[in-house]
Amino acid sequence: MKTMPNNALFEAAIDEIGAGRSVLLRCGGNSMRPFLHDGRDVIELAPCTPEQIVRGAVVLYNYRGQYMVHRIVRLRADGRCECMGDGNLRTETILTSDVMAVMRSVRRRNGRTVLCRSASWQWHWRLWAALRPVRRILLKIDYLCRYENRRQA
Amino acid sequence: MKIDGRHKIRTVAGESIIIMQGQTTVDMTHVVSLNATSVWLFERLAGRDFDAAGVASLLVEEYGIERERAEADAAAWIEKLRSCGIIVE
Repeated sequence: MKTMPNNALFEAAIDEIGAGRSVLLRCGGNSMRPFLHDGRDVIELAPCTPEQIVRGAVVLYNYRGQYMVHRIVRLRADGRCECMGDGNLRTETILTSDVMAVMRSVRRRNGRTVLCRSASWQWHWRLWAALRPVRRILLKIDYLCRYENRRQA
Repeated sequence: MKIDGRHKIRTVAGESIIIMQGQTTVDMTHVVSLNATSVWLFERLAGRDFDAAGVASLLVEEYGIERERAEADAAAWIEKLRSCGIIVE
């Protein structure tokens, strides 16, 4: 199986989003764990309006040449926002106007679709945000669980 | 058989790929990469009904290959695209 370069796929996706269509992409990478799982979940990126750029929204942007789909953790008064992968410990600061798309839903492996505006999704990310002071420990536990699962597989 | 009209060719990073483009949503979770011959066939046959013999005839005309080889290539091309849901009955 051939894998397309990530940035190239995102550029094609941005063209489609610019034309007003939403795009389904398979999640790649672990930076949004535990909310999004590498190779398993399918995310729907959609064109966004300024009203959708809010704290907690998962958005697409280009940061230092790399396309990223991370969560807005803070909106600043100077027109910038701080974004962070749920599985990361550091933030990226971007201009709010650099946001290219917003994640509308996630399709899980079992075919179930979770809307990002659903109460369940909102509740979970708020809990995860509240746990940020101990995120390093939680991510370590998550990593060890994954390692153990891989070892047993 | 025919090519499902929701599939479009795009060039990404120098490669021709097929993506499924609905009216409001584009599915990029299953991206199929095509070589130059496949792209040519896809473009010639898009929007038309065709059969394996017709595909083989196109290959013979365009590339001047033997009929037997063209039929084998056409069958393989159809099978591959059918398994991806790109060619439908």
